[in-house]
Amino acid sequence: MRNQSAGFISNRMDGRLQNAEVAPPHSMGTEWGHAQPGSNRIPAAATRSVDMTGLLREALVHRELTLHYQPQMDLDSGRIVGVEALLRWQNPLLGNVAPAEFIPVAEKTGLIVPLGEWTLRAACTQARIWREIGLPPLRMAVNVSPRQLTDAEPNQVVARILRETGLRPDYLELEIPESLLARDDVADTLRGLKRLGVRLAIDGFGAGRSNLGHLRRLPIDHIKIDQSFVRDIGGGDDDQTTIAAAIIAMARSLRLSVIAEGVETEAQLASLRALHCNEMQGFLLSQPHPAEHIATLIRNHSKSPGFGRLSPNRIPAEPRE
Amino acid sequence: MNNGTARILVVDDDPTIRLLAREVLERNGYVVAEAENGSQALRHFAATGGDLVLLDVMMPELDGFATCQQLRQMPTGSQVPIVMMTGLEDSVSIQRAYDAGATDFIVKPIIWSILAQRVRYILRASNALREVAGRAAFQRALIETMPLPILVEDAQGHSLTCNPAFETLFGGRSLPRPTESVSGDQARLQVYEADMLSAHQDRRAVIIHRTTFTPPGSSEAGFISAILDITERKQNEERQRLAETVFQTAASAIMVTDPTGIVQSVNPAFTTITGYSGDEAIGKTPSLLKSDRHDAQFYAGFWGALAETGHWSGEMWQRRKNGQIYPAWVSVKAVRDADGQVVQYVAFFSDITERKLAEQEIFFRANYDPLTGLPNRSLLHERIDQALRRVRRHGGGLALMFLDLDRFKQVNDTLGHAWGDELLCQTAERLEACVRETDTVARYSGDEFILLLPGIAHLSNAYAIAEKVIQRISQPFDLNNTVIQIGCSIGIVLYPDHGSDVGTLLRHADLAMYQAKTSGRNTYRRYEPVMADQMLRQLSLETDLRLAIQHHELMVYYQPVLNLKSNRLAGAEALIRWRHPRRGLVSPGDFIPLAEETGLIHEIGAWVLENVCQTLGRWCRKGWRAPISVNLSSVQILHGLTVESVETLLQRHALRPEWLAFEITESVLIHDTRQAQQWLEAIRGLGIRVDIDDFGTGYSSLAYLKRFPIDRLKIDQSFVRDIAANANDRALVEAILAMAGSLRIPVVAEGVENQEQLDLLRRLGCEYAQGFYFSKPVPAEEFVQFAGRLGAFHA
Repeated sequence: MRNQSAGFISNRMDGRLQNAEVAPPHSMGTEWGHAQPGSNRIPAAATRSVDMTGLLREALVHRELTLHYQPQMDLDSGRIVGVEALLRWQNPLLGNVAPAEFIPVAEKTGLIVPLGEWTLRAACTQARIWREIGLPPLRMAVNVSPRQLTDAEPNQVVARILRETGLRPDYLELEIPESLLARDDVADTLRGLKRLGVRLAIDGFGAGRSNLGHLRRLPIDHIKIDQSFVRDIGGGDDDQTTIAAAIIAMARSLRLSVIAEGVETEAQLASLRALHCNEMQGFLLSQPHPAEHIATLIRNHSKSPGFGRLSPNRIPAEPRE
Repeated sequence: MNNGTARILVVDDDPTIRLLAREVLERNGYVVAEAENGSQALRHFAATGGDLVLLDVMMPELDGFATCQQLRQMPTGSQVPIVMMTGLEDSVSIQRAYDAGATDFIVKPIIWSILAQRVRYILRASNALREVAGRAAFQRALIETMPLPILVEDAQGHSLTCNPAFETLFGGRSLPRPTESVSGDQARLQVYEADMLSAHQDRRAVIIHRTTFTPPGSSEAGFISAILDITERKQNEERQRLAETVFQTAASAIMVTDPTGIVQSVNPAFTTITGYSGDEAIGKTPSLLKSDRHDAQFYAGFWGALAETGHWSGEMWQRRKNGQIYPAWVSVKAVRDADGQVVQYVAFFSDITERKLAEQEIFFRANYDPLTGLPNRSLLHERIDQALRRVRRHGGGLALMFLDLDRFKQVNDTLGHAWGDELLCQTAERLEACVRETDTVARYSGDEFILLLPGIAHLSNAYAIAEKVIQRISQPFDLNNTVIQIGCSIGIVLYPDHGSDVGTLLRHADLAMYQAKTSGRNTYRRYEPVMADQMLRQLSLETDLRLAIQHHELMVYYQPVLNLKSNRLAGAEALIRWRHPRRGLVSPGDFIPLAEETGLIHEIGAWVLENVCQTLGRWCRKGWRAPISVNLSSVQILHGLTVESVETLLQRHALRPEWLAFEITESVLIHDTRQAQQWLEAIRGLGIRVDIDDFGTGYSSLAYLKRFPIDRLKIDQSFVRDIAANANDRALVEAILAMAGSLRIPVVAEGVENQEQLDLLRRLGCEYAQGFYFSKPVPAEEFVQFAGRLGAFHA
């Protein structure tokens, strides 16, 4: 989903962001604010980034970071087939910090490497726990940042974490920002990861520059259609001529499965099904929830699968942040 | 002298008179000598002198008058009282006696009883007169010998007399009057300052002491003035005052020390510059200002120069009270007394921080590239020279790398100079990160950089560095959140293997770089002698290309495009060919990049358009009704080919816009410049079709395919070639077709060579195709025949 993965957006070319180049970062925060209640009280970005580095370093130690999970649904079966792990940071001083704010800082300072590793371990542990408590098989999607792929040794890290957590590799899906595919050094890394048996998804496909050749050459399993394209469908016009349709058609030709992120309306869902999109994720289905809510939600859903919103009245009330 | 001892000479030829005179005078206590005639008297007086002479007038031989006269001429006789004895009533004799110099006379016969009284009186009067005369002489001498000029004037200011000092200094000058009148008691003595001209016409400052006096025998008061010449003192005072003013107001700090270096005084500028007040500095030594920037040797040189020449000047780092170090221009001078002993040192210094900064600025401007901060060409040459000298002296080797960015021009042209500049800056940073401290990275010009690597003696070491550099430069650059990927081509030379001087080394490195560029870019080459030949060929190619248009060596070929559904001719692509007189047919791939690099693309592009429009006009008159597509370089689109010029072209050849199509590459769209978008929209607005060429070979922006007004996608022939054999390529073509189908963009497959490919494309839903299978690109006349067979022209 866009607001959580926004940390990667600065690294790829995004038409909408390009046009909004004068807009300060906090305006993005309000644009995606539906996932971040109260986040419009963000102070000046500059002072925050100074403060933030130190605070972020301590956040890991002080357990201020948590993961929320947003379900992903298969559009053929109506089953929940996976979740995307999304970082949350609640700091005593800064309040809730949006990933759009702190991920770039982490990326710049290199903190993203331990942060990413922590995320990966926490997510894999959670996935393993869900398996142990008898939840249906769930794919765990985790975002990977550029520096994680280039600075650290991702293959070793992933292999170690899989070994430590005992998660089956094919239950782990790494979401790679599209812009990274352009880098020669990343191709080998991706092939190495693929050899471990994990699934690879391209995040935010089509929003930046795409090289069709990469889709063929690299061991990609999954394409995530950027939510900016999802927004264009289901509006009553001819969905067949949208970019989302083009991507889905192309991905089908390349035998890649497609997931649409940021699905918010029934009309969008209907259009995606008509276009033979494979999976979806978004508010229409469920917002991101803490792990314990997800377990309840999925258990309930697996008893009566359907394409509507996961019923909120069947999960415990989550305190609004 | 008293009466008792007064000696009286009695001169008379009459012995009785002599006897009686002796009797009377001796009785009254006088000592008496006698002479019986004038000659005897003179002799006696000359020998023993006397206090009074009684002289008879009437004597034989020398008479009394003559004797008197002669006495008076004797040195001792001029003042002695002479009393002449004359006959009674002999007034003539009396007159003669005075004329001869007599003091008084006594009438004969002498009344002896009063002679003594008479003598006493005359003696007393004579003594009194002598005393007065002596005092006057003393006073005169006193005044005459005094160095102080003195002038005596009468009441009207006429000079009465003056002393020699006055004569020397102010001879002939009158005195200035006092400016203020003074009265009362003070009127007796006036003291005032004035200026007056000296005898030598100098202006002198004087103090005049003036007093009034009444000269004897005058009723009017005159003036005596003593004139004190204070000109020197005034000048000294003036100098002193000036020095003090300078000291106080000088912009330079001034510090005076005694011979041992103890500070005696400092001026306000000293405080301003150093931060130390006078109180803080006085009594200390100049080490108060010492920074740790100079070694002992420096200070030794300083004191050495002071001792030897008495002065030192130069730059010196000093320390302010607040600890700040600053550069000062210091000038120190020893002050010596008359014996040559140093009595003081005076130091002047000024803070030259500003000047230093300016010098550094000038140095920086002269030696560094303002954009990247790297050494510029001039500093590079200097560094290479130095490095070469070191190697010649100490042995070893060095490597030079000539680095040119690949595709930089595209970034600059499509995104603008600001982006290009940013890219250069980031490149500079990366390059510096690739080399050691001792290496030099310089910006040579535009997007050319030089790496000077001392101590590299083997090619293998140089290669390793070149690989590192290429790897670093090939990493994507983040320019304003847009990822840009470029590369670089590197030429390598070693000293002494590939040249022995700066010029040769750089030239050969440039050649090697060029070779790297032509062999596919993003790679490195070392210099080899054959490169010079290749370079020459390249240069001659450029020269030839410039002439190609004039010499009608360029031609436009046409390749038909078929509609796969109707199997009819759907148009043609115009392709440029260069028939070189010696090289034969040169492929566009060999000369178009060169044309873009040299800017010839504008001329060539315009020629092609003109030529195509001409041909198209001719064909249209024969019934041709399909579009001809012309390739445009991104350089042309962004710089040169205006929408207006295209419009004019259509009008001139009376062409309908839908018969013309432009093929552009994705790179024009990808950077999403407003300029490109406006151009595209305007061209589409004219009704001219715009196709995307070589689709799928580079980066595509799906969003822009939707947003930009695009008419067709052309799948690059590299995908089509292996479509039957290679599942990957087939999947890709299929994906492109699926995607284009969704976006309702028709697709043209390029490079169709056989029936199998054609069938496959047809099955996948491709609408148009071109390739050797139908026809290779052919000259216009041949194309007319080909198209004629398909019924594209009037019969």
